[in-house]
Amino acid sequence: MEMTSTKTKAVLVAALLLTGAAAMADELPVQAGRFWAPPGDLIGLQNHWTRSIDVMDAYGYDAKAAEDWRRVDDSRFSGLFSWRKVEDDGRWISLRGAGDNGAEPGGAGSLFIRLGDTGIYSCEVSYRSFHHYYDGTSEMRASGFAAAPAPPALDPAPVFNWNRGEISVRYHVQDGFDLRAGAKRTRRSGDKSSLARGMFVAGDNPPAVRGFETWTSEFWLGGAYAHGGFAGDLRLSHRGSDGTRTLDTRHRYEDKQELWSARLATSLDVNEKLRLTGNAAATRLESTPVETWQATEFAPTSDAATRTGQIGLITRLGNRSTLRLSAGLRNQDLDGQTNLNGTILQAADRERRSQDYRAVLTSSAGRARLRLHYAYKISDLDDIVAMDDQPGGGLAGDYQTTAQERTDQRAGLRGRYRLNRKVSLKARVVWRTSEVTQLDTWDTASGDRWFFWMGDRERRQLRWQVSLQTRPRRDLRVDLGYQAVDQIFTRLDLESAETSWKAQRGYAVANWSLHERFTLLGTASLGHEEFALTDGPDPAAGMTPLLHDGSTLRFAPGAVLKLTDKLTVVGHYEGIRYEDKAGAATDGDDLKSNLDRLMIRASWGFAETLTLTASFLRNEFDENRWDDYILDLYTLSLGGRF
Amino acid sequence: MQRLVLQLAGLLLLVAAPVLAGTYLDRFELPSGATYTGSETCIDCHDEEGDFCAHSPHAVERTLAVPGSGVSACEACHGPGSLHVDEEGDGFILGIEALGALGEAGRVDMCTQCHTSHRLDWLDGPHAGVGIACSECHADQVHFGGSTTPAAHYRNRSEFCLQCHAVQSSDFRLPFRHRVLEGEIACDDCHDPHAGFAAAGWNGLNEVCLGCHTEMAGPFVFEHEGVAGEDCVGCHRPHGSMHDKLLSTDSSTLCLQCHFESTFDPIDAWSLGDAPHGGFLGGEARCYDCHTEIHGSNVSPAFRD
Repeated sequence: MEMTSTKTKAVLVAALLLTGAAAMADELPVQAGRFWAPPGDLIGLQNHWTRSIDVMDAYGYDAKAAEDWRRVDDSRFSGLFSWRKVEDDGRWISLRGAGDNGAEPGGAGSLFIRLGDTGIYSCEVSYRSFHHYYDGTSEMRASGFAAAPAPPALDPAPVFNWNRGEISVRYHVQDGFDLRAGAKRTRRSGDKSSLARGMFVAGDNPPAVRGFETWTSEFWLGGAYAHGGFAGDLRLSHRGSDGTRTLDTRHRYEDKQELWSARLATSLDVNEKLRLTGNAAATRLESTPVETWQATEFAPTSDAATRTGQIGLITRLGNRSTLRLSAGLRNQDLDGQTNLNGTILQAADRERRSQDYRAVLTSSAGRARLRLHYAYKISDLDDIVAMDDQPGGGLAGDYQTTAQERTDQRAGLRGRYRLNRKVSLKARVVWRTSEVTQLDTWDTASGDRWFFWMGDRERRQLRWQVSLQTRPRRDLRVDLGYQAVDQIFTRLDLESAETSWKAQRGYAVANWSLHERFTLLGTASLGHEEFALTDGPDPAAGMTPLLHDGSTLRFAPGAVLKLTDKLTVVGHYEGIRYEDKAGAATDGDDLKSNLDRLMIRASWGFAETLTLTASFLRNEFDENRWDDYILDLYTLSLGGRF
Repeated sequence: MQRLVLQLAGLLLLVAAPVLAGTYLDRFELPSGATYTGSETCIDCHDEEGDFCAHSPHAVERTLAVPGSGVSACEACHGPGSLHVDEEGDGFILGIEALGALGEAGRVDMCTQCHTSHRLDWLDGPHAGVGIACSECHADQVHFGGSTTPAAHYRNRSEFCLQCHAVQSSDFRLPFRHRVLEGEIACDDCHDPHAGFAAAGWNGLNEVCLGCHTEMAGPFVFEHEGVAGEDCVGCHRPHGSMHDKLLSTDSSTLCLQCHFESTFDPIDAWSLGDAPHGGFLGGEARCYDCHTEIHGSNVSPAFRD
């Protein structure tokens, strides 16, 4: 995709002119090279404001650009502010906000109000409102599938909004006794494009749209009590969700869900070397939706009661070692049924139980620090699903049961060794195993099992990484690292057929202050990830979707140049190259997608408290299929401190 | 039986609490004769520009004390100051050398003797046991006050976390991502920097995700073992992904990592889950084109729509 823009050139010239003019000035509050931050954004508690206008120039598939960057407007105003006041008596209040007048009604943004009386109470009120766009195409990105023709797209592209208001209060009643309370309410409305394209029409059909009009409300109340070495923390909460969801016209859900939960945590310092802990939680989740599927209305009712408990200890072993031990239990009872025309269509009775034991040893001596951990978890599942009645009922028809036992183990170490003042070596290794044995029984009219469960299986995974952190000079920092994952998943019920997942990544991070006014920085990484069927019978012809052979190269150099005390120029480039070549018959069948981002920003403090910033941002997405775009963003902002 | 043991253990903790209590200062060998003078005495000398500890919960004027001890402000951390005062600064006090020699656990204990709710988190907190104590993040607050949370310095408070968590920072720049760098949601919407998931409620790690994505919480008559028995992160990369819906990989590859019971049906080589799939997977079809209710269903045992 070859594109040019006269606006790009114009803004670059403008930035250079601005740079030249401001170079004659001096003294400026330097803005950090935070490439993701909007122009004019400052770190710190000082009062400030920024107003910006940006102009977008987009080419190519603008729906995809909108999905990635939440932009559809040719121009947009945005702003941010921060204000804080502290009284002599310790009372304080702060306001922070940011927003824009994006295309959706009401724009987007966030507002945070925090206030309190130090050591007595604090309160935070926030409101956030954002919207997302979806490109609405049928993605079709399997590497084994030929590229042409372009996929069908939804028109217009779906738009989805979410809003959340939240308040939390903390009050210090007296020494050792605090109360907390809070509430939040979230609304989701609008449409998302889904991955589903519909049965038998998959490849040449636009994706289905998921519609939302749902509300979720949550309230909680808690208290913390402490006396001497004892501390206790109690939290009670309720969450309710309701509203309507749809999947095209195929499925409609009238949600109604409630979650009650209580959590108690306690700890006791027996002496200076031993602490005991005990945690317990109980929840009840109820769901009574109405689902309309293929013109038939179903009325499921279900509830799940869960109880968890954990006891533990932390003990000091000598001056530099700490041992943590814990044991936990969890039990979940679930009863659910789907009603049709007032009678039970199908019902489930399910119980999951688990025990969890963990040990963590941390130790440091001299230049070394080490953390060893081991976790052992056993769990079992008893499940029965019956037709026409509840399991065990007099009318129950076909039924299927599952008895599952599962063992999970996790062992690992994490260490750091300081070779000298300038070089440290860090390493991390985690070994995980999961073994599942499962027995299904069924009694059905056809003699076949009603639905499918996997049989016995195992998963073994090794993750490790090593990194070298170096400071060869006071002004230079270089970190090098390597990470790897190796996993084998074995289906013991299928003559030990296996899939493998292997991933490796090497990376480097550098930061070099060449001069007090000039810093170079950058990262580079190269990763490779592969999924494959590695054992068992030969795969059938056309089994390419099982394979994945992807490589990702990412490089992101940047520079911060403080031309004068009042003028700073920041430049940053980021490139991501992704390729999946599994199953591709020719090079042209490889899936390739490139992301390029370029940012140039010049800030000029033309007055003691005012800063003018000009910014150019290019986001380019280029793949060898359909979704290419270039999005240029020109921003001019004025910020001030007060 | 298991429940009974747990309840008894909890009861034992509650009953034994007042009897067995130990404190942070028990870590040190305090000299005999050292007594608490009251922290008002300290600022007679340590009054740096008159605002030492002002605007901080540790301000002497606030008289907030270690629960159950009555010791407040300076002496809560630095120990009894009478000898230090009597000898005009030369006598015993837990100064920077003594506190600096504390390990991670000791430094955390110093803070959590008052900040008791975080004492409870420490067993399984993400920062426990890796050499990080409270002061790594709350450095500015101990003496000089400042903001109530260090993240309040930022319009986008996640930036505070991402100073260290560079990998996650990169993940949030991938094409499909939770919009953290954009300021829509923040790290602490999902993560509690102090607490782990040890005492998580009804669904463990997944509870974090299902707090917003409530429709996937069920409970369902037909559960997908990949959801109920595993974690959401088994299929999704919540920070960022190259693939839509934050999936760890695209196409049917993701599902077939577990569901590869193919080639065992002599008639149809693509027999998955007891059902022939030969007409689909050779072409550009994906599992969720049909199995749209993959997180669980009350209607279809095959999670189909």
